[in-house]
Amino acid sequence: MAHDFTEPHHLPNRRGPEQSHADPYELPRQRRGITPQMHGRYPDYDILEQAGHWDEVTRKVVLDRVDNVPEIRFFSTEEVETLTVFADVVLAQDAEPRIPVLAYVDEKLFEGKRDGYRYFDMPDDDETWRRIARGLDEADFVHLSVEDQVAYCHRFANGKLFGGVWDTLNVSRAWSVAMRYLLQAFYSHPWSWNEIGFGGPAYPRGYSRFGSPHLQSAERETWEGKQAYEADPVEDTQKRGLE
Amino acid sequence: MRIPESFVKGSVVMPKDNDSPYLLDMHERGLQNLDRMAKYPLSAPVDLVVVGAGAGGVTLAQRLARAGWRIVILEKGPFWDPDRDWVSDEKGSAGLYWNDIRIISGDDPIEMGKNNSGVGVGGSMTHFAGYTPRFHPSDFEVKTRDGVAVDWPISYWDLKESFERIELELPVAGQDWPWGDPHSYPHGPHPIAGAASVAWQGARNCGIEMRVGPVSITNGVFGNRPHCIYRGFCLQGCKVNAKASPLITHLPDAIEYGVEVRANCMATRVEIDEATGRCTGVTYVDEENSAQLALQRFHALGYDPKKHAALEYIWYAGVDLLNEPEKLLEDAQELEPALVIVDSLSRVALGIKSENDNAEMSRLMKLGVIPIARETNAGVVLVHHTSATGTGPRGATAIRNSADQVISIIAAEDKTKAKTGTLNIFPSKPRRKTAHIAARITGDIEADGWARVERTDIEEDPF
Repeated sequence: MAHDFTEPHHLPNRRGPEQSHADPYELPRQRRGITPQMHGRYPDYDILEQAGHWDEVTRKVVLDRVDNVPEIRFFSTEEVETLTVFADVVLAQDAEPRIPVLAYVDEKLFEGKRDGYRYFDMPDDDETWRRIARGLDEADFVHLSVEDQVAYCHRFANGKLFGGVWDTLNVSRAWSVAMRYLLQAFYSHPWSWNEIGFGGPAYPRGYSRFGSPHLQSAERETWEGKQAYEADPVEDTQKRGLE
Repeated sequence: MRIPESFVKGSVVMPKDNDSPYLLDMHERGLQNLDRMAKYPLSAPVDLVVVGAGAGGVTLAQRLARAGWRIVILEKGPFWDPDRDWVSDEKGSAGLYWNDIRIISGDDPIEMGKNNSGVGVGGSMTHFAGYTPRFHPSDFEVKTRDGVAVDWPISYWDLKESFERIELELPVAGQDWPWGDPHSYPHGPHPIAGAASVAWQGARNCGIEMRVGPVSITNGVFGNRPHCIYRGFCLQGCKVNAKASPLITHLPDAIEYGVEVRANCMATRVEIDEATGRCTGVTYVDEENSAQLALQRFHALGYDPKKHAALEYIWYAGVDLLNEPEKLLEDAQELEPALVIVDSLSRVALGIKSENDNAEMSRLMKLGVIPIARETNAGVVLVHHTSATGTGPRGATAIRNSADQVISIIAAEDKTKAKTGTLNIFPSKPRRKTAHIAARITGDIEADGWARVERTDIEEDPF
């Protein structure tokens, strides 16, 4: 039977088993490459198609990050279960494909890599992560409704968690530790670059078009992503009542 | 106002006292003269030990090396090769930061790591954004003008020439600066990106003037350094060699003048002589073990080898330097000494009949002394004794013809034993200049040939 091109079914469907999940509002479905949850503002942009233009060491580092997701070696099975749910809530990864952020957090903690500093009133980052997992377990975070999970994360971000493990931590700093690790893991992954239209590595070719809005032609490199969804993110989130 | 000719836009004038841009390769980013880098033996005395191969240390070392100082730079991190080690990727560049944990406190502490500190040769400048504004003259008088903090003990005008010199060496590209002390930059401003042009337009609409700020990024060819390609990863280490860091702006030249960088070596302690309170060396740990690097002014030959255990030396006696120079030369190449002292010629050059004979001294120079200076990485000091009754150090014409400089030494304490002599310092490399010094023997020359010499004056102060 011929495809009905008025419906999106003819497009490659890489959304996994949860394909019934609808894209939020009018965000376009990703048509090339992969983005988290397969939606984004740049539906025809796949940064990995540009890998042939990158220098060899960069290409190796970036492709290795995508192809060889590290095994869990630092967290326990129970911690992984709790923290995976937590990471999905705070990064709004509510469907496949998901960037496996916890695997990269685990790798960094396992290898003992740090970011060069620690607040005087905080334990080492690995201990902070373990206490966060315990604190979430004490609240039975995994089994809360999504609305309650989001509300709990808001209280976490504002340092308004009390009792149990949370009394042994500076909660808002624990939040900043968790976010530092999770956001680094999320935005170091090329799937997120597809989502936000990031040009990625540009060596050795560089840029000669700088995106000046005052120039009538050649604002963007030909290989840069085209936005299919022109909306000011600030106004948009306000309109949706998300802020 | 004096405007250096090098500040004329489009000028091909290059820094006079820094050849680094020419010592880089056009097609490879790593340093090309590493095979020529000095290697001082662990026990060799050097003039200066710099801890940290960053913006301050490498620049200081480059200038002092040109003044003849022997310098070792200890650097905790590796010797970067931008082609091999750096990537166009934020996460993959974490190795550029000082990631050892430091404790921060206070209400709004500065986060360390990638924000403010680097590791490896080039220091934090390898991943700084490149922004290099000058201070304004008013910045030095904040107490007087604004009633806050304190005034600087120096003024902008004391630093103006230094600003100009470093702006030429980095080099800095930017729009003519109209505020404070109006000035220009060696390279013109870089084009601005979309977001900046929106800000620019907005500022114009509000009647605010903006300028494209100065960045130490080439906007044109600079020696063998290429033009910026606008790849946008300044904060991840410049793979182009367009953005300045001491790795490419000062170290190539410093290496030519005998600076050694000991990478992967972390300084752990400064050694102090308790009796004198003076620094005697720096202890460091490298990847395998710990070691101590002796610090000793090269010019101050007054140290007693018996009192300075850190100084290893091998004493040669009965060497026929005139007829068997290869014997000492082989040893010198193997031991890689920092300094070879040829003293008491009658003992080490058995073939010499008279130290006061120009022809014989000329042969000795040609066969025995100059090859050591040329073939090894060592400086050679030739102590040439002559009779006090002579009108001057005879036989020294031949030495003067080959030596970098000739210094007279007078042992003055005991007039009856007074000797005159020449202390000749041969440069280990033809380009090396040694600082002019005058020396005075404060005691008798020891039986083993060591003289107590006190430095009395530096005619050409490297500072």
